[in-house]
Amino acid sequence: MELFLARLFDGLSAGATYAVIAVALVLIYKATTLINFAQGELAMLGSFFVYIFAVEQDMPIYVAVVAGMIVSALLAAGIERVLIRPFDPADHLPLVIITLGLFLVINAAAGMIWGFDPRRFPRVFPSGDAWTMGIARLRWYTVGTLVTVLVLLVLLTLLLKKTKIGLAFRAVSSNLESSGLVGVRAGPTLQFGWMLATAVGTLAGALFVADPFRQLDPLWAQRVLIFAAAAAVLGGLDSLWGALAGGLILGFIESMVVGYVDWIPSQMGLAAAVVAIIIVLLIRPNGLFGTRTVERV
Amino acid sequence: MSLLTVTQGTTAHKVYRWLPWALFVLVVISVPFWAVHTPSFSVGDSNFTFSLGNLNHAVAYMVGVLGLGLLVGYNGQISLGNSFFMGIGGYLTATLVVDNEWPYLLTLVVVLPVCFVVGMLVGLPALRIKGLYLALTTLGLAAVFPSIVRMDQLRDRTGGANGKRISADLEAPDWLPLEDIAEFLSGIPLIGDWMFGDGRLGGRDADDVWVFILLALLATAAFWVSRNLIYSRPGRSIIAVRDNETGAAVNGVNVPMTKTLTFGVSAALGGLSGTMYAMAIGFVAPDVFGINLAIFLIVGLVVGGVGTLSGAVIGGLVIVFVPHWASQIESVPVVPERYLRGPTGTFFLGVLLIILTFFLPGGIVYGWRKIRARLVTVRPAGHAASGEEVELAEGDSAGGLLSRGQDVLDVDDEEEHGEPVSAPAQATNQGEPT
Amino acid sequence: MRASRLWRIFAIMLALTLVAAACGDDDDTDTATDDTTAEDGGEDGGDGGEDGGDGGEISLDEEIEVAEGTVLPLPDCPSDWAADTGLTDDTIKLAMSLPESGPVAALGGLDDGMRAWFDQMEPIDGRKIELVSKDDAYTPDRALTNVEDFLESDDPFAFVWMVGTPNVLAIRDLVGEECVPMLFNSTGYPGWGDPENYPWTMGGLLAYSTEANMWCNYIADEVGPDATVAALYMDNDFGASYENTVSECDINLVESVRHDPAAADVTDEITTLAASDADVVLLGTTGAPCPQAMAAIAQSSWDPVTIMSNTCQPIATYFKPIDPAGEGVIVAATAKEAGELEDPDVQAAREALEAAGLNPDQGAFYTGIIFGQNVELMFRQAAEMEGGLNRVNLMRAAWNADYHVPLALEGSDAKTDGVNDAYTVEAAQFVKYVPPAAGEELGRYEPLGDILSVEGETGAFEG
Repeated sequence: MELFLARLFDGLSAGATYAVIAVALVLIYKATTLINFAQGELAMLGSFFVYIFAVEQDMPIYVAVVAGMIVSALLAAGIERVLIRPFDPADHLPLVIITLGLFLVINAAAGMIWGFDPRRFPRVFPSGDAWTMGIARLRWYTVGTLVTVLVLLVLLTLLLKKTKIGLAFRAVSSNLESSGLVGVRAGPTLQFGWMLATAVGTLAGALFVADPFRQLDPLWAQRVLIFAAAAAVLGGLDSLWGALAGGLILGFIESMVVGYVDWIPSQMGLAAAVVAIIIVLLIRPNGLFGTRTVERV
Repeated sequence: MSLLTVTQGTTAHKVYRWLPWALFVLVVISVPFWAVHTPSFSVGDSNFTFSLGNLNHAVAYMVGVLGLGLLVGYNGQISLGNSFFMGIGGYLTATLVVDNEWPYLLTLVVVLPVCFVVGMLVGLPALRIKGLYLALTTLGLAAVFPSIVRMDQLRDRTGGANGKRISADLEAPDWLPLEDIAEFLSGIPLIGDWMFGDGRLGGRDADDVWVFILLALLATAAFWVSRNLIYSRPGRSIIAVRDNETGAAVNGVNVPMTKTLTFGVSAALGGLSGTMYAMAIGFVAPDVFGINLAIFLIVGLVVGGVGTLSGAVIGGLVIVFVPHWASQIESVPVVPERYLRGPTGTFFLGVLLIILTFFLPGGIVYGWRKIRARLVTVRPAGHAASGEEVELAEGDSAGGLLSRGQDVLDVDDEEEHGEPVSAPAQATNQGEPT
Repeated sequence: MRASRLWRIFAIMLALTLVAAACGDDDDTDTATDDTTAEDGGEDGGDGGEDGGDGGEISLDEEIEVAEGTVLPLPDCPSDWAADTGLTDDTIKLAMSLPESGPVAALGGLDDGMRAWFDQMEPIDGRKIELVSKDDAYTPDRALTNVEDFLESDDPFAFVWMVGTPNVLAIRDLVGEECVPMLFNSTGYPGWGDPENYPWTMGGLLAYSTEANMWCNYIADEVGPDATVAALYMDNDFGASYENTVSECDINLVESVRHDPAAADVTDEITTLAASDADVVLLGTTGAPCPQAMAAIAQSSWDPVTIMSNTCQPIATYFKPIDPAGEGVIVAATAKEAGELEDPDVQAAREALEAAGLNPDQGAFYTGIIFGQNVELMFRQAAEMEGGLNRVNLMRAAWNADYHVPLALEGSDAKTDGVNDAYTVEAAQFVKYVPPAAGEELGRYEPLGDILSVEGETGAFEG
């Protein structure tokens, strides 16, 4: 029982983390129907901004997180304007290569500037346990991350459903050409999508490296991106709440299946997740909560 | 405006069409004798090398990119897991050569069918999973491969985490007059001595050249088979499925069968590429066939040109030589050296990818064709009398993936493979009198 | 639109012309350089000086036994092989392939640290060491093509401190055929000590098997023979070496798990280990998972004796970010810590790094100094031999090494003796981490008992 609870909490903790990064991926997908390979690296860069504000500029951590989100959003706006907008948004392949190039450049630049040694990141939540039973410990950190994800999702849903910019965003993501016809300017709206996704990514990054079990280094995003992408796929690439579901399910698969199914060794967590994803997608090709695409002939 | 106008059917047109091929063959024959001396060129303090080892590595990757291109570019299935099949091919070859003492080439008897079948199996779920869902799922598959070969149950065969060294060397056969060719090339007036050195092949040089010849032959076979497949009836089905699945089905194409078979062929090419990798490098290790290779194959495909076969040649070269050269950049004007510490190679690689995309968004092959079309105009025979110039290959670069593929494919038809029937049609469709 | 296209074409053509021009020029310079090198060799011979002259006398006709059971098969070497390739009157050219990008990019600072040491040390017989390095992103194929490149265009005297077990395995046969020394492989794979079959290469770290064996002895002696043990390994070549040894040990191993080197963290694995409630936990992992595992264990209800790989020894890198969670963690240390500021050797190392503009507390830079000192001392030993510095003497020095690296622990000497003892680093001391007291910047290690040496026994352990 204790072990079961311990694994449950592990799954919750990992899942909440995957979810918050998956939300950033979903946002950029909704805006551009594109997987942005650089999303993880932008989040990594954002987490370094937060680190600089908090540790080197001595800002309170919450202020630093907000400042980091703003700076990274501005950076994303610049990237979108200079590197993305010159290309046709409907032609994905050049854009994919641009984001791959950004992925390499940002990661390498961070390594060149800050080195690859791990750093201590300021804590955003209390470090103790909210509830314990033997080896099972529900950490405040896990609770905090989950609450943050929920608040974030509610805010994002409100933003997209109730505001004008949210309406434009949804219009562009649902049909680029028709939105242009009704007077939505695609460029600035996509730029807004990039800014929003990157700011959320920075928040996700700060939450990820603030876990006392993890440290800040330029490679953390590479380690987690494939899991976050898997979570986004599982939940449905265009579903914000699906990202939460996908993240949690993935976290549980990793902790439960690998913990209890003897013939799956623990280093095969990703393999188990991939198999699970294939099964889910066979039944629901657009993920658990994704919008079914209608094919026109 | 263009510098030259060539009328179809004339001798000039034949020269225009076949001369590049003749040059290409000439280059392929002579390049190993040049690269074997590892020529280098320097810019500033940086010294960039071009070695036969890297070239062999690149030839192996060309076939991998080709396999991916068949699936993504021609069949429209965005699957990114081809490194998985390369891994299977590489490891099967390694274990058969080392543990069962088979000759390298014989292992293809196992590699090709196994990869074909595994590819079909992976292709089955792909009938339902589409687009980015398929892309990310197959990327996950690619990420899992290293853990699979590290498993204890497979360790006797795969060598586990340490990788597997293939100690059997490919030795140049005695009947092959490599020394004579080297000597002949070195004897060419003016450039001979400068490019090919003294014409002697020392130590392992002859074996390296032999490996190159084998790899080049395998690659040629792979490209030839792919080309014939694309221009055959099944090939038309493959492309029809990409362009409009429903339309293809209405016209009697067995869509599921076509898609699954394409997956199988693509995987078999991936397996071949893995075997070629094992021949070129002589060593297989788990992390070689991981997610990085999967991503590099995409880079090679897109930078070369999606929906072209020749793009795979460029793509293979790019994914080996660009990172290699990027890591050899020692100094950059203006930038102080202390900032050039750490992963500079990756940094420049990223910068180069971005710059390349700005200049040639559709890939190098496509860009080259545009330049060529600007320099040389092919005038269809039927229109010759009117004296109007017709510009080909000026398709809009802003088309989506699929329409771009279509453009390039048609150009392919016309320019590379000389099917005269399609050319005038192409010209009437696209070219506007200027 | 049209104009801009024309500009692009023009720019591309210009670039191509430049490249072509550069090509032409530099091939010429290359040939010129080659000629000079050849002449240099000739001059050395003419001088009849100690160095190059005698290097020239080594004949390829016979094998040379450089140490017990260690024979350099010179007749099998390439015909253009020379014992003094890579040496000039005032430089020694060494080469190294290492990961400066990719998953273990943190090791990319090793070459910078080594250069910092070489730049300030006294020349060896008037020669300065010049180190050329290339990035292989930790993949064997790029390591192999890098080495081919080095052999073809740089002609290094020797390879040093190549990183990664698969990478070195991929190139070992090649450097053997080319008869180029490859010293101090920067991996603890126990198979490097095989001078009988691979006389041109040797390892440079405490073998992982030796370290794991020390762990087992420590558990039996200090914790108790019945202590239950749980173990975490990284699922790659590195963790496998530990796992192979530990699973053969005479200890009560109750649980062992591997973690994916690419996983985001090791929390799930620690939960599995914690469930075993073992008395001891072994952390056979490296890099980011070290602090992750220590932090997760510290916050769990589990309170085992924690023994961690000495690749995570640097305090500033692995303990400082999680202070005080690393309290009590035990490491089999092989070198002095960068934080031991009162030690003159550590001071010298820090000064060398600071002079080169490198942060002395960054793990890879400091380790690079240790690597550089090994190279320096072994080359000095070779240079003192009859005939001076050449490749044969270098291998003679390698397989008959006897020196003490300043940053190594007192009492740990680098000693080899051909097949009888093919490992340089065979001593370690168990130390326990003490977090910094209030006001202190860094924690420190507290020694547990004496230095343990298994001099000459490394080859006996299962790897």
